[in-house]
Amino acid sequence: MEKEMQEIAKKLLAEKKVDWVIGYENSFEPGASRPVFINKPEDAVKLVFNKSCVNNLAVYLPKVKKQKAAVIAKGCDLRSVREIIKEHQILRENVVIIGVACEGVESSKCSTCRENKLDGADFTVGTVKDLGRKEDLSDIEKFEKLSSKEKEAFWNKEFERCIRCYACRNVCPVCYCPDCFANRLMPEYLNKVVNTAENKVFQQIRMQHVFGRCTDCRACEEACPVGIKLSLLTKKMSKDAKKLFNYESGKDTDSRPPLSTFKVDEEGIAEIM
Amino acid sequence: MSNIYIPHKARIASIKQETADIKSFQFELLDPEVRKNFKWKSGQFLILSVFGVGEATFTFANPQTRSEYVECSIKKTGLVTEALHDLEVGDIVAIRGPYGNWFPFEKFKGQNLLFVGGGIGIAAIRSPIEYSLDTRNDFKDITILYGGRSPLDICYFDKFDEWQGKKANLVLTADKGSEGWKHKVGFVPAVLKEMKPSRDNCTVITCGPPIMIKFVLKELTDLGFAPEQIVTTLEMKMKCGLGKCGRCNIQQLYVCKDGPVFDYAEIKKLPDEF
Amino acid sequence: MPNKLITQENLKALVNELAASYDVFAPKRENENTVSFGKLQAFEEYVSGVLLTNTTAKDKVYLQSEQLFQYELKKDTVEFKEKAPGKEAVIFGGRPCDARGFDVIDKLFNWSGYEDGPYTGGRKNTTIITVSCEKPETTCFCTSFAGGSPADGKGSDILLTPVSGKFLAELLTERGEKLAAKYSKYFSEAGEAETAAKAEFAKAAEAKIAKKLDLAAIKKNLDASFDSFYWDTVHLPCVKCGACTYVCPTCYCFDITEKKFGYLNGERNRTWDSCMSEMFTKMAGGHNPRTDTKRRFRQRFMHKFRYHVDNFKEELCTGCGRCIRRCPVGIDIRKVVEDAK
Repeated sequence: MEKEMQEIAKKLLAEKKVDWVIGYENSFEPGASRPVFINKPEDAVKLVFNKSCVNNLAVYLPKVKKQKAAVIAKGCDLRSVREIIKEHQILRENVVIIGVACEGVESSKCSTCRENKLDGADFTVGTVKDLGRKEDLSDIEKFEKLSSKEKEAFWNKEFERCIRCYACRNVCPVCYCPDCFANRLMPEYLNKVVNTAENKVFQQIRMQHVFGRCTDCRACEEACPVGIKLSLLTKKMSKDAKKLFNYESGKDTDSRPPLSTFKVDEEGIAEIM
Repeated sequence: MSNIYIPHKARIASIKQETADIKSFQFELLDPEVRKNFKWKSGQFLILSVFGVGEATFTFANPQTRSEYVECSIKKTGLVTEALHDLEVGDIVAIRGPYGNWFPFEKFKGQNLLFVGGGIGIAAIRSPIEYSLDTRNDFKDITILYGGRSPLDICYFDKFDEWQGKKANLVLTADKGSEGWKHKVGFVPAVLKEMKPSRDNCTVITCGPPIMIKFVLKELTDLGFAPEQIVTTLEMKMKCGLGKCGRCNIQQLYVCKDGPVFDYAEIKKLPDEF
Repeated sequence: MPNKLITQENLKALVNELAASYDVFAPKRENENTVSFGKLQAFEEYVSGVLLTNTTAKDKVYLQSEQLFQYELKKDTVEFKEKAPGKEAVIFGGRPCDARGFDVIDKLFNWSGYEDGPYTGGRKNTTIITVSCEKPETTCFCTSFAGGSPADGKGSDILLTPVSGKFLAELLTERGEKLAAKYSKYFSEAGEAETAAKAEFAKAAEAKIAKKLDLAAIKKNLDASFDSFYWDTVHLPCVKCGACTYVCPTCYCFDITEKKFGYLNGERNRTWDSCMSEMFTKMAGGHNPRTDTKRRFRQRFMHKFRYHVDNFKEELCTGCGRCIRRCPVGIDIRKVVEDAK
């Protein structure tokens, strides 16, 4: 599989179809891998794919948008690629998608993976198998049953640890705003002081901004240096987007994200008045 | 153990609107003891607190020879400066400092001095201009070239008579002239080229926007000035002013501690990160 | 002062007694995959097996957000209020690389003619009891640095090293001696055999660290590589978050900001800042000397292994390897500086 991937990458670079191939290489650390940018055909042999290839490489696409790039994408990452194509952050013709058949990496999301299909990829490496895994919303449903007080206590404990390094934001494929509210000084949305209250405000605003765009790829949770349970939020948002708007982020490249459209009667939302 | 971040209290003693977006402030330190001991030298800077907004860095606009008040000329550019422009005489602010190094006037003794200022950069060289005028006998010819975007952007009209009275040769220029403008029209580097100052026994003190500095340096080099003859004051984002917060770090230098005054020979050794 | 010995039981009793009168910070479990320095109520909460806590001990002295003073505007004046000095603290169970971090930033907070009271005040109030590492992690590289070792005491007041079922306690500073004297009932005298066993321990632990950087060569290469093409591509995978800088025991850069309580009062704060952030060098007029990510990435490594060495004759790094572990995209500081040419 790796060989096939390397050949494709080598050819794309040699034929100058792309400026970059964004994939994974072995890290310095044994058994680990990390994102790599390759621009020489002879370097394509560096590309690897294994269980440690957790990173969602879609995050890099908006950064190379003036150039052409090929990206190695697992089924789940492909959702993010579609989402940012939909949001016009990259042009479809500037991206070559090398889909890899994935049977799971070292991530919490993989046990319930139903997203390993590679629809829309330009190349497919390996054979996509039906993993027979089922959606599991039990953790969300359990959380939803907690009282507001209990929920608040839980999140206070989580966000007390937050160091506001913004790794969650910076690895997020749909957090591409060049001028993030968190950096703004005029007006100041967020004080630089790091405490539970400010940390929560940051994540609340970020989550609102990515609602209906987040593909629950878990890059944020994987990146968090202090292990904050962000997947509880991203999973809940996916669930709500589906329930309220019958919308799944990253499913295609042309539907409108739910919060960028308006319907007088939203079927999924009960009128209170 | 002392809290080096607690500033000296001060009140705004006067405000003068220089241009549409530049005001000159005189600050009076509240504590008489502090006022007596608060001594600075031309080229040093201070950190000013506007309460409710924060701190920002400014150079002293007046020299040590005229130190009744602390004076700063401040252009509205960011958060703190905008808030400062909204303040009135009598309002309370606070000052930390003085920090940094200063213009090495002892080295310039007996020389001709050429000051080249552009835009708000004039605020940084007004202090050395007035210092040299107050110690006039130490220097030979003093020439001041000062330019702004338009005649409306020129500060310190009220000071020019005094400067010229003390035998300084003042050349004003505006990038774009207007009716009634009797001075030069053109960019500072172009006027400098036309002036053809002699490099002999001359030190240039310059401050202005990065693009102006770049071309001033080029013109001076073309005129044969050695890098050691050109002195400027660098602007970097600073927060502490004390060589700790790490922002103004270029190479091994901390601009707040090792600068802000550098000669061009020193600057040439630095990477292009300012 | 001769070395002491302390048994496991006595150590437990000591920590429990300390927790009653000091703020004792030690590696403590936050959730299934997070262990950080937290306030210990009892010894049982102490997680002894973890070498690399998620965050460092640094933030127990050099707080991520620290109030410098409060102000209140009055008629014709302003009043400042400084916060009362904190309780005496003990940082227990940190590792030699954590303690060495304090030694490194102590110098910064005392140089340039200014003693940084808000930092040194807390520092003088804190006793650091460190535990030597028996099994270093694969990301550890402390032996690269002068005197660096999994059993080195630099920056510690007391260094505990497991020997023959007990701990050898080296009292390295006056502060350490004072604490041991105050709680002398828990300590016994150590003999030559234990001191020799410690040396053996150190040797064995050092041998387990595979990666040793050639710092002299790295410095030489960095001195010459500022304009190198190397930096054009090496930064590309970096997403420019601040994780590496915030989990680092030596990164010290900070911001000073204000928080308003009302129209007339508020507080001035110091908060950690990161050279990876675009805002770090952006000036009020919009000019930014390090706009692009390449420059910011380069600054971090240049600062740690070149500029800081010029100023302080030591690297701004202790080899803890946290930045390697916490980097979301696997950037390895060892590799970045080693490859720089």
